[in-house]
Amino acid sequence: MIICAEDLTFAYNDSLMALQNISFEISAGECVALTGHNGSGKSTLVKHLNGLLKPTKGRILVANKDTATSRTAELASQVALLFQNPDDQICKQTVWDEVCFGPQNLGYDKKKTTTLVQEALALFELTSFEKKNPHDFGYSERKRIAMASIVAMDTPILVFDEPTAGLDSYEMSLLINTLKKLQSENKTVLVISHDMDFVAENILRAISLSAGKKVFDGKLRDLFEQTDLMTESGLLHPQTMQLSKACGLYSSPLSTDECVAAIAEQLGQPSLPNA
Amino acid sequence: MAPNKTTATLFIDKDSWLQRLHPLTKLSYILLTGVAAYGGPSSLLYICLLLFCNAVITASGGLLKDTAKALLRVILPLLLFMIPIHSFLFPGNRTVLLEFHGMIVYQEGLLFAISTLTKLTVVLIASFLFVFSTHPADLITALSHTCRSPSLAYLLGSPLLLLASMRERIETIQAAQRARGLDVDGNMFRRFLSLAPLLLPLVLGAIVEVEQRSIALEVRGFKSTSIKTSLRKLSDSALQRFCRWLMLAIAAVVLLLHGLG
Repeated sequence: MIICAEDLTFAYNDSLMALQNISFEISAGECVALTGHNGSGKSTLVKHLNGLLKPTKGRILVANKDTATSRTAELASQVALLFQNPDDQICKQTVWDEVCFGPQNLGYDKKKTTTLVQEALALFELTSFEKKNPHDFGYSERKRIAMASIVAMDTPILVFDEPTAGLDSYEMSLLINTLKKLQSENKTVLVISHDMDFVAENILRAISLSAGKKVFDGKLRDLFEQTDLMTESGLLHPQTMQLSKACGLYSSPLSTDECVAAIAEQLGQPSLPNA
Repeated sequence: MAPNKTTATLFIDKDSWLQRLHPLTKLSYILLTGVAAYGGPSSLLYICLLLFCNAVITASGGLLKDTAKALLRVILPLLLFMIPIHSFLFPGNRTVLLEFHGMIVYQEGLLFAISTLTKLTVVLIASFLFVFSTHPADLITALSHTCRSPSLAYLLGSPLLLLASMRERIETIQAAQRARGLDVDGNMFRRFLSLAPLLLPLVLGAIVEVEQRSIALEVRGFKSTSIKTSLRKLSDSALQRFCRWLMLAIAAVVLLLHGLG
């Protein structure tokens, strides 16, 4: 197991409980969605992965290292964390320098740093902007720069906090391609998101939190079938499932392809025209 | 909902006489304390007396622990720098107090450093008292009633509002950079180097925030000339008004005497 949380409990200022007795395991190469309503403790949980927060009780192991006794600067070589707001991390004058920042801090040699940065810039189609100032771009481009700077760190674990917020459909496709590439490289990816369409299409497993407690850990499809839990977690079903329900279909399609197949099956046809 | 990890302001919500005082009374007190500390006699005993008065007020207002914590964070680093620098290098150094391996500690420099730090402590305690016991909205309401200009009131009151959000933002930026391997621990040089990646996002963010805040205020009729409804009621009394004028008058006299003397 690359991540192992055991009875993880965290309280802000020793009194305000943010996480309570959370246990889970994540294998190397898994892609997991962390879901729950605002304030349920998702961001607090992921900050334990690289030691930004230390457990009040229990422990969390990342690559067999107890994060409570490791420094964040050391854990950064294991876990890269994308913050919600790109402006919290952009600190350099050019896109290239910004994406270099993480690999340089991790002490990679010049050749490896250059290769990683070039790859990350290409993934998010930022290569032609590498000499420009990140602050000259709009929010979604800055978000892409922030994502590229995380991917360039080449860590075995990547955490994306609300990666789809503010992205248009094309930028979303860049993110999806990146997730696929990371999975093909056996990287472990955790995604915090309220965007259930994105989650349903791209991720199989979900861990759901409510008021600091783990309320679900399993296949995403099973989460969507528990309506009460969905309501408790403040989540909406993906549009494919909503459409399926509105059409009176019995299946629970998570992707557009599954939805099309379910409709075709209902109509008694092998496939839909123009689908 | 999960609990908030920090409050939106530095205000500490307690039911004490200090919290109930009119913001302008407390502002007048800060002014008087500052003038008394820097314009009054330079005797250490006098400064210690001012310090004692402030400590008593803080304790009676139930803010002793919070004020002491905040004060230590500010004064300790200054103390660590000022005491050795002045003890060794103050231009008026004459009397040798201590000699250790060629390093000479002089009485004049040490006294100067102690006196400067004590004066600063007096003013800081009064300022912390104000910040911890005054809700920013109360300050802005009080200033609006006094200066009749919402823009000026907001300009004067906004530092209190921004202080807490800046503090929160510094923590987030620091976390974001640490997550990318920036080492903020270790020796002083390493810490100094780690400042740049923290400052740029903070400064740029603050500039953007100021612009956004001003637009948000404009579009919600902040500069409207009609009489504004106030939902906050500030307690004021003839005694408080008298005390305010008295404190201002004393401050003026001290300043005058200081100018003459």
